[in-house]
Amino acid sequence: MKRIVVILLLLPLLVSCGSKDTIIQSLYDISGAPLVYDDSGATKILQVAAVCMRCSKVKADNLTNMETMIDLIVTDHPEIDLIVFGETILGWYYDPADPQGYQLSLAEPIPDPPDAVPVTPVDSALVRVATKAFDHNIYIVFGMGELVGGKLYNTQVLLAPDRTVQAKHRKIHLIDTDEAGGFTPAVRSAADPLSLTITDINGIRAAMLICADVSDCWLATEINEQGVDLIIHSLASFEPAFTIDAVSRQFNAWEIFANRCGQEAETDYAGNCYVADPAGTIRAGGEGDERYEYAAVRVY
Amino acid sequence: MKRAVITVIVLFTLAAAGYPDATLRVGTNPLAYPLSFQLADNLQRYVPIAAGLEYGFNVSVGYQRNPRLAWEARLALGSVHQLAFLSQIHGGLCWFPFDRNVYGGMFCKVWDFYNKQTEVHFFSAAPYLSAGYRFDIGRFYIDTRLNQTFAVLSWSSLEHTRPGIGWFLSPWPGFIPILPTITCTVGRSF
Repeated sequence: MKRIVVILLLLPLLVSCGSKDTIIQSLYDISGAPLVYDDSGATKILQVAAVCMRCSKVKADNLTNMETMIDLIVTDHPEIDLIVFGETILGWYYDPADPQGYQLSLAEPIPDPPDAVPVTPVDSALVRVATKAFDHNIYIVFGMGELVGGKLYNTQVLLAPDRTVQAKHRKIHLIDTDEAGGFTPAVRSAADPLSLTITDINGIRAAMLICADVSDCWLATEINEQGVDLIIHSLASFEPAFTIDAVSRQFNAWEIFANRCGQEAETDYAGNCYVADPAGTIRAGGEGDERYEYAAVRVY
Repeated sequence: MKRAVITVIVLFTLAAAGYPDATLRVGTNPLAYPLSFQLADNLQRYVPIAAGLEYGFNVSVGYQRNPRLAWEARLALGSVHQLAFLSQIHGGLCWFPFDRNVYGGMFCKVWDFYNKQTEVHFFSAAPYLSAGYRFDIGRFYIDTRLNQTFAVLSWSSLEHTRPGIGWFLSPWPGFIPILPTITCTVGRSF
């Protein structure tokens, strides 16, 4: 009898790592006091900005806003290497009036890496942002709907200073509003750089994630197995600011957390946007209105 | 962590041996067990608050030498999700001001949040205050209490890090500035 009781008590301990795909972060992921991460001896440096943008429902307004923000960051910090914008930043994240039709109206085709971005049509989001990357000699990451045949993907694209698409990542872990918007999930495949997207920026190894991808057990495991220095994370998250960054602690890597702010239909985005170090300490950022957060990512 | 557990067990054994009239209580927090399984998303998010943020296998040992004062230690071991394993140990004392079942407590908990994939440990120590009531049912008891942390010291095995210290009324002050937790322990007195 005693043996059975002991086995029953220990059972949860033994079987506690389930096979479910979704990681539900606990309060312990964000608990504790911020640690001091000493990066003074780091040898690789990337100057980065995470942008928190108030999105209009009109695509052209958002593109103009992005261009203004890029110019402002470059003026304030001429040494900037990488600017990151949020998820599906060309419009509202979710339009309850016509979720799918609205997302389709914002989406564009995106060339596969390492192809160059064409120079026309001039009103294309990709063309306009690639021109800014080229003009300022910087990398730019942003989220947008991608049209592929009849399918729509929630994609994050990394544009290099030479106008090429260096990498693109398609969201794997869709949530209800993604599905309502007509997005198709990327297929989980370690051999597919569109679902497991790891790239190199100035010698720093970076993985790309979109919002709830961070909760995908398969993706988290693959990234941890490969090991990265930086997580480029575009989101549309309404959650308030954290004291500790759970994602940095999940990968023990730097994280750029680029988001949005303001009211979109029923949703109020708190504008949580930051850059955190591998210990989970937030170096720059918090809640707020439209702005950018600047930091130096320093890697050993 | 192992040394801390052994030290607590030895101290309790020695204390109990020295006072034959003392009461020893051994219990467990039943709500913590299912938390180490994969539950529905919202259960996984919110039930831990009602389980004193304990996960998985757990045991509580209390030692009451006189009606007004009791020492207590708790140990809990379990996965918080697929990537992290949590070990925690609590120690402190409970004071029964009315010589009955109502008490106030002062504890310290130390936890190790271990990232199983990167093999990095994040340790923290947090003092906390409790207020509770113990229902005695013959030799058995049900103990319910409210806990509130107020400060935290953290350190890690991650390279290039130094410890940090801060106020700790809530793990997520941006969401809720003060977050007390509830613990329910069922057990037997000896």
